[in-house]
Amino acid sequence: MIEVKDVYKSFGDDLVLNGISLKVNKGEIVGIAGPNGCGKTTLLRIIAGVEKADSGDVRVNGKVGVVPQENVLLPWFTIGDNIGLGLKFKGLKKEEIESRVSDVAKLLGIEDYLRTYPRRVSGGIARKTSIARALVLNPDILLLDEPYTGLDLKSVSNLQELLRKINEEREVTMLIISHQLAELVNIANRIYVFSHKPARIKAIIDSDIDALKTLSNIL
Amino acid sequence: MLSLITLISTIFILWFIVSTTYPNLLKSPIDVLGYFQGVPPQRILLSVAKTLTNSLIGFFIALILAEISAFLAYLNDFLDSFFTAVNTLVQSVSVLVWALIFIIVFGVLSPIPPILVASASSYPILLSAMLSVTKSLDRKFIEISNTLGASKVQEYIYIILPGSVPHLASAARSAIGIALRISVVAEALGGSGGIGYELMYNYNLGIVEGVLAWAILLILLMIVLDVLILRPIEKWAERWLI
Repeated sequence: MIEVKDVYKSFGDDLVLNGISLKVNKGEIVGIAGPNGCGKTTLLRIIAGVEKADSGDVRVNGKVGVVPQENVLLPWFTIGDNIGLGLKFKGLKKEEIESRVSDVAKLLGIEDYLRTYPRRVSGGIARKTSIARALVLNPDILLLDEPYTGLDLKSVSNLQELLRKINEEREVTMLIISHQLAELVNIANRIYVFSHKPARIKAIIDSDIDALKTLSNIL
Repeated sequence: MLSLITLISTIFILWFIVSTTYPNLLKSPIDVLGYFQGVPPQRILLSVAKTLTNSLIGFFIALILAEISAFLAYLNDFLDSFFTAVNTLVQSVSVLVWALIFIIVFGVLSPIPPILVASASSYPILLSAMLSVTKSLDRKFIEISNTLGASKVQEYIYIILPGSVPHLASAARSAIGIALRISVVAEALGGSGGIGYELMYNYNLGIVEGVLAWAILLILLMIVLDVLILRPIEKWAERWLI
């Protein structure tokens, strides 16, 4: 689904990505962990097509949805309008937009906030709105940049549960970036650990997520 | 609102004291009220309506032109520089020059000069606000709209335009105020009626209480417009900021 081969990226003389290669297969949840400022977001932006790599090969097979590090909700639109913005850009009819927004909002449990302005919702709701905005476009791949930032432990756990549900029910492949390895181990099938900048892959951790889930059920 | 009433009351009290102390220098509020009693109400209403119409039509022409200019400036770097230069040029021309040019072109009795003078005076204020929003609006909003598949036109309609509304509403308050004050200048120089015409007419005949009466009417008109229409619109435009 995503194949990154030997990607290099610099900003001026500042080398950020130093020959990164990774692979995300269909239906997988893959994590990228690494210290702050090591280039994880730059790689995600390259995969999303927002930035261009200096060299190397990036192949993405499927429709991509991006959940940025900051929620970037448009303050002049309600939560519902923010979620439906991508559909509006596609020129869909109002009824279809409302129906799809309502479905996704229900999936994420934010249907009560659709008429609220972003300034009046919590960080958790704003984060879910940001995910809903990407999800409403029915992406095959979801790129999530630090999705747990600013959330308390319970919200992190709830969000992880929700992301698993989306992955299973909607068969959405996910690439999640986090500076905390601990936030990825119980959700990702595989984790690529980046070094300090210029980033290269320091380690690849394969986790048996099903075994972990079984273990957590037993416990 | 209380502060406004206090200010107006203070001015009237001071005016009353000065006019009573120096009756040859300044007519009293009672004289001014007396002047209005001698003017047919329909003449007052027609003049107020004329000035208000000139200002508002002028303002809306400026608003449409400013939106079109800002949109074109957003689409293209050359057009951005071009409209920045246009803005500088329009700002640097005196209101009196605009009034004289439009009166020469359209004639003394034409109703068009006061409208165009109001447009020329409010256009730079509105365009400055729009151009500054297109440059200062958080780039993350543009970036997120790009990831969601927005075209350049959609970016303008859904991101720039709504993002500019609070700034534009504040600018519109100033622009309408200026349009109202400036259109009066063109009315005074022309002969098509309005508060400006009445001011000049009374001035030429040496009726001081008439000049004061029409001047006060203009101030009251601006205050009423600001309090009853412009401020509520500005508040509505900022609803998502609160």
